[in-house]
Amino acid sequence: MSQAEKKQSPRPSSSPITSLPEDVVVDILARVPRRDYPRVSLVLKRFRSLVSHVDRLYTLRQKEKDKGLVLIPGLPDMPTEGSFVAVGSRIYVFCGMMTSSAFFIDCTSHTVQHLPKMPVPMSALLADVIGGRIYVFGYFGTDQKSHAMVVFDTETLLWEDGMTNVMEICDGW
Amino acid sequence: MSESNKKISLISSEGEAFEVSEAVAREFEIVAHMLEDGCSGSSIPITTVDSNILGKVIEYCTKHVEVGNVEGNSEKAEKDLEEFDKRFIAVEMNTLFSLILAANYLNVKGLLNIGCQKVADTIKDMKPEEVRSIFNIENDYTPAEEEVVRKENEWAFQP
Repeated sequence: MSQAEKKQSPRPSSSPITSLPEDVVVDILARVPRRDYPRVSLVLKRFRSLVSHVDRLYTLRQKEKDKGLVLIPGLPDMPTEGSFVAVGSRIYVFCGMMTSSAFFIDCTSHTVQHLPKMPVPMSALLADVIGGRIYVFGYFGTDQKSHAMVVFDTETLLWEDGMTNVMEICDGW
Repeated sequence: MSESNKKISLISSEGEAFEVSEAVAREFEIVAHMLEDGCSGSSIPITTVDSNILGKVIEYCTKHVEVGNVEGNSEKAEKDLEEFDKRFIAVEMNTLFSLILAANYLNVKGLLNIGCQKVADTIKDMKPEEVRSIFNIENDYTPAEEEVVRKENEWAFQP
């Protein structure tokens, strides 16, 4: 069969490692110790972008005896100043200023679902859950003198009418 | 068990038939799914894998099925298997990558694991230039770009 011949003939122009499917390359890079990432980044641009995303591509999974890592397709960038809340098997992520986006990671199906944007721009977020509702606190915008709180209902997956309280902050608080 | 006596032919890309027990064929998850889906044919074409690599994958699966069937003395068996895996995966790069590709396609998890681990072990502690040369990778950074990335990570390149 000609296909087999083609396979065996060396193809000097393409490296075997770059012809591997992306999830396999990610699997390989995830096994390289973190301290080697700076060197791995220098090998190839593609490695650099994969290495920088290995953190956000993976979540720990324990299935049977197999302690493995799992690829979550389409996982957005994690906010540096966002807030994370675990409710049941979902991890809710609230991004602050810039995007005001929100989503959750479903840890049973390893998928991401995007949620309606946060109703007001907020920064320095703090969030926690009470009775199926997630309360997100923070500054209103970036103005450190006004506070805002919005409420997300994990049943309806909608934002409730939150409140934005502009209030004077006492000295020394 | 009559089931394990059943033979299945796996056909390589060259058309060569490899006769294996059903237990061994089931180590290929792709084949296991076919069998579960009621595909009861006794010969299954594996069109993307050549005879050389298919033979090796079968060797790997046969060993793992054999060891899995032995009762007792599991610690020694596990050690033997580890030794086997180590020897099995000590192959030259092209074969290693072909094995990984085949394991990924056929969904032989254990083999994919040791293959990826082998590549990772090879990459770590290597200089970027060494990694490029061993994997035949063409540098796609311009010197200026490379300098920027190198600067970013300067701490890591200290002797």
